[in-house]
Amino acid sequence: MSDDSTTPDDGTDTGSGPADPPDGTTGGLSKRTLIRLLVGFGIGIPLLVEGLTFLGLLRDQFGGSGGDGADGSGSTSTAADDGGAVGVGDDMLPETDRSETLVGAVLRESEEGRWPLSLTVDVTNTGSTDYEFQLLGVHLEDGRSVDGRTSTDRLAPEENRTVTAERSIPAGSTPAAVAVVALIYREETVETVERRVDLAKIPVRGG
Amino acid sequence: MEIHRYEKLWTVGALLLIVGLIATVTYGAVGPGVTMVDDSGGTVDADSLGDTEFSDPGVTQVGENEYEVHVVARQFLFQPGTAEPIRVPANSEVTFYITAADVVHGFELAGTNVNTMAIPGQVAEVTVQFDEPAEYGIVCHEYCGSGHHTMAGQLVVVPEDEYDTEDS
Amino acid sequence: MAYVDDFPTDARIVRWNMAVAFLALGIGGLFGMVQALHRTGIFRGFVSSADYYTVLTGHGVLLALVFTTFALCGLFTWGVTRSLDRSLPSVRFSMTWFGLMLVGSIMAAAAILGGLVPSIPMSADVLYTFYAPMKAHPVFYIGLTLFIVGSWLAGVDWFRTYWRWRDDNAGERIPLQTFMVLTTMLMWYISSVGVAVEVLFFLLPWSLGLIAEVDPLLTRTLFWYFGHPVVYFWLMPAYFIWYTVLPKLSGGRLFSDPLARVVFVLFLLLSTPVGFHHQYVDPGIPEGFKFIAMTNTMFLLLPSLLTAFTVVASIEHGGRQRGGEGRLGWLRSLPWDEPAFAGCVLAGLMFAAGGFSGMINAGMNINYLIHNTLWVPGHFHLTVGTASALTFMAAGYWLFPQITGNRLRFRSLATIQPYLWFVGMTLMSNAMHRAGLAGVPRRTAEPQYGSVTFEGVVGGVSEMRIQIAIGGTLLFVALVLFLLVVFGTWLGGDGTDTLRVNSSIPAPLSGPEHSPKILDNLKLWTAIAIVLIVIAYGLPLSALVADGLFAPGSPPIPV
Repeated sequence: MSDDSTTPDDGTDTGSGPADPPDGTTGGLSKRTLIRLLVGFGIGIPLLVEGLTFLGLLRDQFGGSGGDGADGSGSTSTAADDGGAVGVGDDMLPETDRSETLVGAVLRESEEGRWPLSLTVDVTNTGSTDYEFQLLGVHLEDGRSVDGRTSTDRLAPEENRTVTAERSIPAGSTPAAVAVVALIYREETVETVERRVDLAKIPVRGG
Repeated sequence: MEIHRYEKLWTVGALLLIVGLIATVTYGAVGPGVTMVDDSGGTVDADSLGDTEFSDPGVTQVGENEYEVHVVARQFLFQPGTAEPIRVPANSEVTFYITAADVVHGFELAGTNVNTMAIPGQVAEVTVQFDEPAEYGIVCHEYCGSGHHTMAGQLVVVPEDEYDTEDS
Repeated sequence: MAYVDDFPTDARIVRWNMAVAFLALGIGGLFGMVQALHRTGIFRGFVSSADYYTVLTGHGVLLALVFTTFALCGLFTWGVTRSLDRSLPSVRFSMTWFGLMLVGSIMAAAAILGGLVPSIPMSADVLYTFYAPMKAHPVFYIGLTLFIVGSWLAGVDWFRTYWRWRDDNAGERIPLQTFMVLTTMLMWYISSVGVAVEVLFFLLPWSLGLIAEVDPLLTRTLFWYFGHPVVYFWLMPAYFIWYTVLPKLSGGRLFSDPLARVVFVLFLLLSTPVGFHHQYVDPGIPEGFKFIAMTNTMFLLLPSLLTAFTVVASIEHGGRQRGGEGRLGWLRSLPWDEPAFAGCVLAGLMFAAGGFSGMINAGMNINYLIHNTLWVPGHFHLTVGTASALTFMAAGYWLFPQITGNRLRFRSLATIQPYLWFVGMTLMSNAMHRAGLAGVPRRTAEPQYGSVTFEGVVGGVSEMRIQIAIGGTLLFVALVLFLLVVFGTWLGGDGTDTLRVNSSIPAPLSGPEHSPKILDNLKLWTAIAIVLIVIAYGLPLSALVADGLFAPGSPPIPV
């Protein structure tokens, strides 16, 4: 197989002969410096990264207290530390003397770009004055939120109402909390309780 | 065929490495007795799990320190495991029977070697020794649909004296 | 005279194959960067977490099937015509297989990308493994079928060229590059039978509603019958370059032609009867078959370790030809600033690391610790993602001038690109391996769970995430540099430049005349390969179909 005749047939690619203009180099760097930089950083950094990992593995295996990650920096979010999270059956605002029980939390997968979330709350006005309970925006794990407003409207004492808040959240996102407002109607004034209620994990229903 | 001396040495070294690796795995199987998931769990009809031993998934005690856990994996939760954690006592031998109701899922106790597939129609039988009290996260590690990243659960190994069989 | 002058029509075929390959690489690589930023939580604004899986499917299919296969077709067309010194017999036939592969790829890609647009009723969020009972749109399966059939015809094209050469050259040894092409394609024919059966007899009719249920374990097993040898379909073209071109780039000659033949024969024999090592933790498969797959897999290390020796020996020879002396001094005389050389060598170095992590994957009961964790993508980005991809890019730098007639443009970008890829991949893959040891799952849009704590073995999980994001971004930058060079070269001239590249390939130090003729007996090796497959798969497959081809069955679940 013959080839082009511009180079000596020493089997190497061009760029190695002194007669060639050094257009394989950048901004006047000599070939040697360029190679030193490339190989130095290009192979040096990976060697460093792998070397540190190897040392870390050795230390984990032979040193320390058996490597149980006690420094905590290895862990991600805490497990099941959901003391305040409200699940189905729980009262959403224990601090009020009225009862607002989460009776349903359903999240379904859908083909569209948004998934339907329904939160159903059973509210009984166990107090002596009028009361209203509202579900507002749903906060997602990634920091976004989806607005909305679902209200029981003003409930007289002893009155009971069940409301369902339907929110459409971005597909694949995870609800973390819901903003709620409770309005306790007194003689002349209205006392407002505004809270962000953490929600326990709502499994996604497929299909 | 002419083979360079270094090449012969290298080939011998390569073969030794290969045999050594096989020996390591064999030791793991024979010594500590780490068995692979196999076909001992049998098959099941994924379309009618309600007529099988998976109709009421959960923990059952079958011996002094022996327990069985039937787990159904479905889009996008483990039954049990997600809505409430799976609870077993410390110092027990637990055999998991895991299947899937819809698509292929994974079942792994993160950071451990309890790791298997949940395939509809098949039952994965996995026996695990739990010694110390601990909390393990259960991860579905096989893509199963758009809610896959939400699919997780918990397994809690409870101190023996605190374990109440009604907890299962 | 450059290749484009000696073989103008074949050069066109090579160009088009490489163009499609590198376009697929560009799109797939862009998706990869989106994924790296999304799953680490750095930036989730490109797609929703549900659409992440659409992007992931596109990444897998475009890179692991379209990019790799078209690159192979370009390289092998060049290699066969060059080593036999004759053109492919029929341009129309060649354009047919190219067209089939292209149409198939576009159909599959359209089905996948349809998942991003709600108004398009097609989607294929099934990932590159498309496990049943998850179901893609039928267009996806049809596209894959056309693609595979096209690749079969490409092999026929090269075999036909060889047979015509054989008619004129009875008794001669098969030239090495053609030998490698033929053995690779024989392996491909044997191995793609599995996925062809899976798609044609099961998934496609099932997705069209012609059959009600398929057995998910059977279809999965058929996929993995194919799914392991496909990685050798990615690797053997890289070895093809390392054996036949890299020695010349190093300034020397291939150390041993016979050993290269032995290596390729070993791949033909051992690539397929190992598929169960992807199913070590599957229920329904007895442990004995998993053990057989394991021992076969461990022996597959041998051809790669032999390659390491031969390639390094050839490079050392080249270094000494260039004036290097001393035990290691020859390293310094090598052309590290030549992009084709650097790309191949860095790819080879990285492959060694990938091989070691592969040994862990192959260790049956050790596999429990890392199955389906992020360790696995960490491993295969070293192998297909670097050994294959970076070698194909390096070969591109060397070949593009010869197939276009244009000098390499943006040479300084090309010089740094392999090193940038190497650094980016080290960062990303190192963190993926560590995250996998902690149990972080793969194929997941948001691996952050409230109920699961991941304990990093070395370093913290959040630090690993940042490292993955940085590595992935560096890789994407390196990819852009590569595309600039290659498409800049192709479109930047009219084919009449005086080329600087020296395209001659010197004869090996130890030629084929030193090897037993039996090595060239392709029929024998194919027969043995089939026997080994029957041993590894005969009993398990018959056990799986014993209770019915479609039982235990599952209906389709569209995604």
